[in-house]
This record gives sequence, C-alpha cells and structure tokens, in this order.
Amino acid sequence: MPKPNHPEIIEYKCPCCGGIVEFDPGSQLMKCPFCDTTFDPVALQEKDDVLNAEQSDGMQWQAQAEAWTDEDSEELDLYSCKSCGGEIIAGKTTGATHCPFCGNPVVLVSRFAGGLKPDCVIPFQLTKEDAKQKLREFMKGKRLLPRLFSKENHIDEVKGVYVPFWLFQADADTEANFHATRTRMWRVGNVEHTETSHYRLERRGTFHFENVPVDGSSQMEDTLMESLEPFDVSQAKDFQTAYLSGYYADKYDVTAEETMERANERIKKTAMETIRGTVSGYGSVSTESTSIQLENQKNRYALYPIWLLNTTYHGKSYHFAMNGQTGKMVGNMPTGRKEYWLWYLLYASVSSGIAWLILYLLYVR
Amino acid sequence: MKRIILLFLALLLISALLIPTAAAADDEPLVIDNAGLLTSVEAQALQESAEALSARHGVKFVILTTQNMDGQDPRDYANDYYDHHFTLKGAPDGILLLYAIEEGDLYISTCGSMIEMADEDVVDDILYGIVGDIRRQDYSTAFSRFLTFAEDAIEEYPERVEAQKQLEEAARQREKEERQRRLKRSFIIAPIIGLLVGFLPVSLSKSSLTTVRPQDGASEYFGPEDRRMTVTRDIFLYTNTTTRVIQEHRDSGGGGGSSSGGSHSTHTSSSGVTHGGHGIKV
Repeated sequence: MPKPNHPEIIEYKCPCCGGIVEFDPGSQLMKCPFCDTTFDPVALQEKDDVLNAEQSDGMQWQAQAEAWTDEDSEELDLYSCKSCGGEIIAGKTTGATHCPFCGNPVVLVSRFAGGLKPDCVIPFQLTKEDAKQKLREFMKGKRLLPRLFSKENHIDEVKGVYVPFWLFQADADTEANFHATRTRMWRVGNVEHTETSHYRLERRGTFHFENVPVDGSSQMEDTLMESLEPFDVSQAKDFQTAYLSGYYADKYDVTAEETMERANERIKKTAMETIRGTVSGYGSVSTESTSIQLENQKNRYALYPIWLLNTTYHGKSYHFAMNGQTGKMVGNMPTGRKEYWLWYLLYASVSSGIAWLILYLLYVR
Repeated sequence: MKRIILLFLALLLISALLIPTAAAADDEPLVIDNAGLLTSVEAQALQESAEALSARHGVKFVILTTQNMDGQDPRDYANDYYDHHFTLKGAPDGILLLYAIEEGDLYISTCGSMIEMADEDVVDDILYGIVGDIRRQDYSTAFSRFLTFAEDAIEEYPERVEAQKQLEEAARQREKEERQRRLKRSFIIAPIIGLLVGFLPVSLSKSSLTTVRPQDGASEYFGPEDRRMTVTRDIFLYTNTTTRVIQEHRDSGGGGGSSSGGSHSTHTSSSGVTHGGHGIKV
C-alpha cells in the first residue's frame, strides 16, 4: 500500500472560523462557505504557507489492510485528509479533489511542484449552478431530442475540473507558390476568341500564433476539449494552488512533445488558408508548392476551467462539458426516434403541399 | 306641336348630312383601271358585277390598278385609297384589290367586317388564285376571279366560323384532358418531392444535437496584427488564345406597327382606320 503523504495535501482554512475555504468564481476570491468571509487567493496562500511552517504535529494513522500490489502503487497515491484523517486515494494525475469522508476540498500540491508547476491558470468564472442552467438552456429548442430526456433529465454529476492544456506559440514562416489563370473573351462576327493569361504567384508571410491549446490529459476526450474553445488567455493568472480549492484538477499525462503534432496540424491549416486568402482576381488558382518553417517556438503549461456534466438516459451515459470561463456548452445528445419521424412527416407534408401548389401554378394550370 | 316640328327638323338635318355621304360612297366607281389594263367592255362588266355583289352583301368590292405608286408602300396606297373613297364616305366594310404594274405589287386591303371574313389564309388563297392570270396578263379573268373568290369568302364565312369553333372546342377538350393528366401527375410528384425535401430540415435538426466537433484550424489564435506578408509577387508567364466559330440560329421577326390575332393581322392606315390584308410580288 502506498504510504500516506500527509504534507503534500493543502486545505485552505478560514482564519475566522476554521472552515475549509474554496475559490468563488463570482467574486474571483477565496470564500468560506461557513462564515462567507472572502480572501484574496494570493494573500491566503502566503498566510497558509506560514501556518504550514508552524505545524509540527505528525499524527498519522497506519492502516491495516491487505498490501497493495506494485501495479496499484504505480497508479495510485494515498493521502491523509488534514481535516478528518480519512484516506484519500488519488490517481497519479489527480491534482485537486475532495475528501470522500468529510467532503472537504484538498489540493495535492506535489502534483504541481517544481517543473510540474503550471505557468498559468484561468480561474473559473461560472459556478456549478450556472453550468446546470446552461445545460437546461442548451437542451431548449432541440426538436429531435427525446422529450423524456429533457423532461426527466437529472444530472448525475457536475464536476468543476481544471484540465491541463499545452499552449503553443510560434512564428510560422509560410511560403506558397500558385499557378493562376485569367481569361478574357471577345467576339468578332461569329468567331469567339478566348485569351488565357497564365501567372506564377509567389507568396510568403510570417504568422504569429499564440496560445494554440492542445489537451494534455489523456483522460479527457481531445475532440470534446477542442469543442470548448476558445478560451480567453488574457484573463489567465499566475498559477496559485488556491485557485484549485473546491475543484478537481488533473496534472498533464500527455507531454508537450506528444501534443505538438496536433498543434502543428492546426497552425499549418490556418497559415495555408491565410496565405491562399491573399490571392484574388484570378479565374483559376492551383497550388504548386507550399512550405512552413516554425520559428521562436515556445510552449506553456496551463490549467483551463471546465465543468463536466454527466447524465444517464435509457442506461447510457451522456457527457456534456462547459467552458468554465465563457459558458460555451457542448455535448452529443440522443435523437428520439418518435420525434424524428413525427417532425419528418410534418416537414414532408408541408413540403408536399408547397410542391403541389408550385406544380399546380407552373405545370397544371 | 312645336316639339314635334323641332324633332322632325332635326331628323331632316341628320338625314341631309348622312344621305349625301352614303350617296357619295355609292357614286364611287368600284373598278378603277388607272393603268388601262381593261377594255371598256371588260371594265363595265366588272363594274356591274362589283356593284351587284356590293349591293348583295353590303360590302364594297373594289379593283384598283395603277401604273405606279409614286414610291408609296402598297399597303399604304391601298389602305389610303379605300379610306378616302369609301371609309370616309360611309362605307367602312370592303375589300380592295390593288395591282401596281411597275412595282409588280399585287395587294389586297380589307376593312371593317371584311377583316374577319377575309383572313390571312383567305387573302393568300385569293392572291395565289389570281396571280397566274395576272402574269399571263389576263386581267379581266384575274379580276373576275377576285370578285368570285371574295364573294366565296363572304358566303363561306359562317362555315369557317363554325369549323373554327369546332376546332377550338376540340382544342379546349384536349387541353382539359391534358390538364387532368397533369393534375394526376402532380398528386404523385408533389409527395415524392415533399418526402425528399423533408429530410433537409430534419437532418439539420439532427445535426444540432451533435456539438462535439474538432477545431478546423487555429484562426482564433492569431489576429490581423499577427500576420505579416513579406513576398506578394504575381509574375506573368504567357498567354494563349483559342477561337471558336459560333453557329447562328436566326428567328424571323414580325413587322413593326402590326398586331396579329388568330389567323389575321391588322394595321392602322394614315387615316387611323384599321385594315387587314397583305400582298405579293407578281
């Protein structure tokens, strides 16, 4: 069994009442849910560091249980809750979670220590209630959504998660050559002349891309994460573990090198589209050659706020995600068979009526 | 009593105004051989025949020959002659045959009720029926046949009208049957179109249930100030030219100032009177 790692856990205690404080998206401050006192995250962190230094008690419980296998030990870490002493079993990538016994939010600081520390974090701007409300709005007006799904839909779980992202920055020196034609036609008597002029178009430009995000967590579906874009990185803060309190957080388990390919793919597509957009005034354009050289590449490690919502319908789980900064909601929903055919028949009937009217006016009469 | 006298005087005045014009139209010769193509006997015989036919049918039958038309169009020449000598003198219904020797124009002008009775086809039949005699310079026969053909046209008019009515009725019946067929077809085609078109909005609604999609590029992550073009060069290489001969399809157009309706076309003379008819070259 993994050894409990007591010192690696941080709980931010309220200096007024001793309750565990959490980050509040509404005020962008740390807030005690018991006495409603608010604190600046940075100040609280500093105060907590001082308090931690003073602590000297080492009350630890030695659990008597079957020994963990080496495999388990590799995948899991065991922590001891500072509030209730309960054991918190966390995956290797878990950075912030809740104690399963007392429910207090805890931050596993070792996950973000040293070189693993994120460069920045976008704090949550929207609350759990906002996420639930957005989901209800998201389902509104969806004609083919089974009525029971939206009517009886009860959200199984709503989790605020800081997802690790790699942000790529580079100057894309892009070069492309095109073959283009321009055609002119004129007529003399009954002879039509067509003159085709051929051109070689050379284009070269440098495009500066900044903060192109790629999901750094293997547990999060890449397409789902991309669907939540864009995030406004200008609102990002320097990383403080205090921002994680009250939420779940993962550290990256996909390295920057592994995600680079996807960033390059996206940068190349946009760079090529941009350079192609500078060509105009020709009848036909075909690409002869292209090349992209990346310069001044940099990457940063960031945590983005995402609300994950799960619901179950007919025994199947449906996952929704909301951008915790902008409120953009995404998720795939089921199609109701009854609703599909009812709407299809309605559309087909109306279309038939209109088609018959047009036929009557233009063909029958 | 005074009123009765006034009414009588008014009627007398109207009669005095009308009778001289009617008499004037009646006094006009119906065979005017200005070109001198007929002998006096022939001219007299034709005049008598034309008068008899005119009296019988209430339509003027006029034959006009001329050496030349002084540069005038045969249509205007014939129409103006008829208008000045007959229409304006109270005889608006008539048919006039004009032959201008120098120009070689043989022209028939119809006026009033004769426009309907001698339609385009009838005028054609008359012209081509007599042109052979004209070419043979057998003018008396040609003009005599003109009178016969013109009278036939009047007598056969009711039959033609009846035949036309039957044709129109048959056409209406065919049209009605065709419409029924099209109506039946529309009841089959419309639902097929509806079933196909119905898929479009329902597919759009279905696609709105799927919002998890990968990003297409990284356009969100660079702005206008982040793009700097260093080379923008368009180099002209060469030009090639191809030629193609276009086949023309020309449609024949109708003459200006004319209108057509059914099988006859009409035009307006300088007097403002509507005429029918047309001509051929001899």
